[in-house]
Amino acid sequence: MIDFALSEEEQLVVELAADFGERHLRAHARRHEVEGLDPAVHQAFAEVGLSALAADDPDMSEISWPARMQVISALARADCGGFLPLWMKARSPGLAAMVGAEEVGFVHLCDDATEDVGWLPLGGAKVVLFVEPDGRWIRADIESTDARALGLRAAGGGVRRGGVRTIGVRSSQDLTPNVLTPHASTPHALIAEIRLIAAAALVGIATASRDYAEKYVQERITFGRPLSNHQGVAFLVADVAMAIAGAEVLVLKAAKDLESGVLGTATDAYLEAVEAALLATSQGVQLLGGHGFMDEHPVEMWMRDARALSLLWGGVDAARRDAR
Amino acid sequence: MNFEIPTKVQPIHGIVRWIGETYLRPLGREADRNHAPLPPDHPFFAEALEKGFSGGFLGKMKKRDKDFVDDGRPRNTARRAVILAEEAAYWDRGMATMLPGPGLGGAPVMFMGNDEQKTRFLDPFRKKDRPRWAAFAMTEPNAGSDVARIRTKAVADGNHWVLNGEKCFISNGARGEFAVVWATVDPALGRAGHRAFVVEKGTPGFTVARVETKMGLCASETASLVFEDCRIPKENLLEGSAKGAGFKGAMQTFNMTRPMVAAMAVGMARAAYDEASTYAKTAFTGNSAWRLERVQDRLAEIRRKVEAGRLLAWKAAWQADHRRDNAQEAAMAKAAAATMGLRAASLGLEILGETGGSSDHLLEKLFRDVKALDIVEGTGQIQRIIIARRRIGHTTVQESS
Repeated sequence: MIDFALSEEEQLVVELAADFGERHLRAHARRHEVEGLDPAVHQAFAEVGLSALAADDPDMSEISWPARMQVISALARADCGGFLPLWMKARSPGLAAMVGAEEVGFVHLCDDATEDVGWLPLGGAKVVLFVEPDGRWIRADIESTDARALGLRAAGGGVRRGGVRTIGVRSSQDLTPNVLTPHASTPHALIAEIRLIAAAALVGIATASRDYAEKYVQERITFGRPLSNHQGVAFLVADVAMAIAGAEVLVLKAAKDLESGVLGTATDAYLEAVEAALLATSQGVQLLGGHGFMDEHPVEMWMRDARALSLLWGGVDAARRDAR
Repeated sequence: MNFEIPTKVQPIHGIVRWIGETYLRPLGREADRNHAPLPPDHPFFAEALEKGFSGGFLGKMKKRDKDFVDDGRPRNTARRAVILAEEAAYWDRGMATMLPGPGLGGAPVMFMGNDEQKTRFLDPFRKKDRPRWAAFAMTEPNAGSDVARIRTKAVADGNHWVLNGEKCFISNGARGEFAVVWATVDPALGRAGHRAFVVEKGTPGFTVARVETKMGLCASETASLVFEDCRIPKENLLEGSAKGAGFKGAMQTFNMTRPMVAAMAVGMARAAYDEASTYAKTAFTGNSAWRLERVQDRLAEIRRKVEAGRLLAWKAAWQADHRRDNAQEAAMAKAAAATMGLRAASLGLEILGETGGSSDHLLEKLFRDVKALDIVEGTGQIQRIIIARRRIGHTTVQESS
């Protein structure tokens, strides 16, 4: 029968992730944005077993994919910019193995693996795998002659706590793309999983912004009563909550589908999560008014994060194309 | 987690599909063309009763003791209901709610009636001599969303209650065996003064003022009722409502039925998707690529939103089955799915273009029909107030004063 419950063990893992996120990510998000993610956080991530979960370690097989999505949302809710390099560092080798590459620090989906790709949240990764939806891929060592690393990005943008680098691979004359065999279907599973990771993370960012704004509107007094008692504000809060709820259940369903090899719903979940996150984070800033625009509150950071994350890995254009 | 329709429900799901395709869709379109519901003596209703596919298939009648006595165990009534409601509404939402049975009028009797009242008012629905319906009468001309303002008055007089007032937009109000009428025993008490009374058809002073003509859902009967010195036995006051559960009882009913309304919107959106995609497959062969891409984008959006709406309805139903407070989730499902349903029908019409404007196309009917779901059982605005109240403690002007 239809059932939305997690097992007791899964619930504990989700709570563990939330606790880890609060202590190691949320509390230091602003510092990480300037200095990059502290290496000790990577170590702590491994010590509590979350990197094993991200890496799809066989010991973690009891944790279902819907539960993993909730773990991702909990971590991204704490701080998506910190979550992304942690998770991708652990998971990228597994994703790369799907196309026969190894020792990869970050997997990137792109339309043309031989073109410059702009910024990526590498989190210290030295080897990047560029995969095209149609099956070509390039493994590039960004500190050798394979690719140009153009330095740390200093300002603007989002999800930059883990170390965003503006990079570009060299032209196709320098790098020969590998081509997957025609019968290979692995890239679809890879694309589905990456889209689901992004979708769950976007739900996490949206949830963070929603919760913060909801608390604020109950405390802030305008025209003699809490902001929450103005119907224009209340309806906005309700619309944001509904959008997130819709995206959340789609992510859970798509994760369940992924477990059984059904891949198409991941794209739908991703598109819905992008919509929800962009709405929730921009309205998060809106609900705080001028305060929301200032960096004294995290909502402006979450708005940048949601926008940046939803541009990664082909963004909505590629997803809409695949959803047709 | 599990997102599969259980094996046990699949046979009845298949039956509902068959009923929908064979009867509900064609009869719903007939009613739409006539701009009026099928009369109560239409042969279909007797046939429906005879074949056993009365309103009971939505899960209200068959297991009432097991389902409505709170033994603390999870049940599957609500989940089963949303699955079947989606399928029935896929074929025709108006006709689905017109199948004989107590429907919305039965729920408050179940929730708030005593054993004698359940037997007296609901047992006749088990007979097969003729089709029967029941109604739920709360809305008034000046009290729609703001139900605390209902002014239909109930005054005790010896062994009777005397009702005076008007009710409007009442489904099955004209053909119902009885209507559960919400009235106040003291307007100054607001919601605390609300009581629910069963008023049986033929009671002196109870008249049907008119059956409404509507933009959509023409198969569904919507009536205005008038109560003038309408005397009913004291025993017709639903016991639970007299114990302070009046307003709460009504809301409890909605928390059960709103996921079903959401599921109905999902079913209608799915019908819109199927119609539009079938049309697109034949009509856009050889058309320019840009047109085709836009059609595909619209179809993909409908499909995605349908799935989101369905899962929200399922989640609210799952909570109801597990005795968890689902007021917020039911409101979310209902508001989101109703909006999505209209969007789906509208996008479908865009795909059809000028063809869609024709009133003989199902999508045009769906567009008119589905709008009602953002209004019935609490408008979209009311759902947002419920959500905001739960999330940020939003209070309405009336509550804060």
